[in-house]
Amino acid sequence: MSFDKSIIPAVMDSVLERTRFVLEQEAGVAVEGAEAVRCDVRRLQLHDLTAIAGLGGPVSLLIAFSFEKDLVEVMFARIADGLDVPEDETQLHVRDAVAEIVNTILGLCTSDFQHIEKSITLSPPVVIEDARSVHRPKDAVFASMRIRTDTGYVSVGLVGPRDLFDAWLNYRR
Amino acid sequence: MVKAMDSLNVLIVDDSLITVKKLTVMLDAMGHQVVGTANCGEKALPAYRTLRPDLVTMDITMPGMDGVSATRQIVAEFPHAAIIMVTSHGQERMVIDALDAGACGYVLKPIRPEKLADMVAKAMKRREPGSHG
Repeated sequence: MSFDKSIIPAVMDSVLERTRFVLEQEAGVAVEGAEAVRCDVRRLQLHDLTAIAGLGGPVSLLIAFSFEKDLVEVMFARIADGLDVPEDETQLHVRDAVAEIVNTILGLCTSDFQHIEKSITLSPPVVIEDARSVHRPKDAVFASMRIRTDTGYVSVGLVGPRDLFDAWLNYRR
Repeated sequence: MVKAMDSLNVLIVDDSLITVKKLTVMLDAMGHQVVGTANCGEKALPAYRTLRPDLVTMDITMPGMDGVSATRQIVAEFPHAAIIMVTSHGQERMVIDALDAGACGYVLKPIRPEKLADMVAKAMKRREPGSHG
């Protein structure tokens, strides 16, 4: 299965702008900028907490948002402010909050892609907590972008074609 | 019969724990009561049958059955159900599908209390006897 690399810049532009909006609105976190998009990277480095969602339709890829620990802590403290979160359920809610942030970002992104195709599906994000590297198989395309906020980095990785991987970025051999 | 706007019984259908809590706080501040929650589309209709809420807030993107299909199921059995989509999905096609399924309207995430209050009022207005909205 082939993958159209030409969509990468448009997807990353959309992700950056929607991330800027959602982090500011939901968590009071300011996006200060982003490093240049790197196409054809050999591996993706995942930080402490990563949420991965799949876009279906012609924009068929997995998008991983990997957050540094300090950023996660600040985001969660602000998102959960005023909410009743039992202490023994904190980590569950942290994962949920990160998934919801990513779901909101990508949901808004779908409106930027609708000129390509009318119907773009979005799978609910899955969250992984282990920092690890994902190496690119020969038949896959990886692209990455690091977004700098006032409290840490979030790395965005695009992985395609989507069908080569499961929802946790494991290569389907 | 729809109750007065200051006291609606609300069912929240959403797979996000945080979103459920945020919606509950916002609706409570508006004087409404969350009488139940469902964390997936499959549970929405059974919860509706049991609770008979005045209003449903419905997520679109959920594991398993999505919110559009769940809305269609509820409306097929309860044609006057008042359902608001609470979603991040900005695609026109998805919004049109939700409205075609019988939703009264939608609120885009990130959720702002004033937008939610406005949509709740519009949804209940549409359900008033004699309304053609």
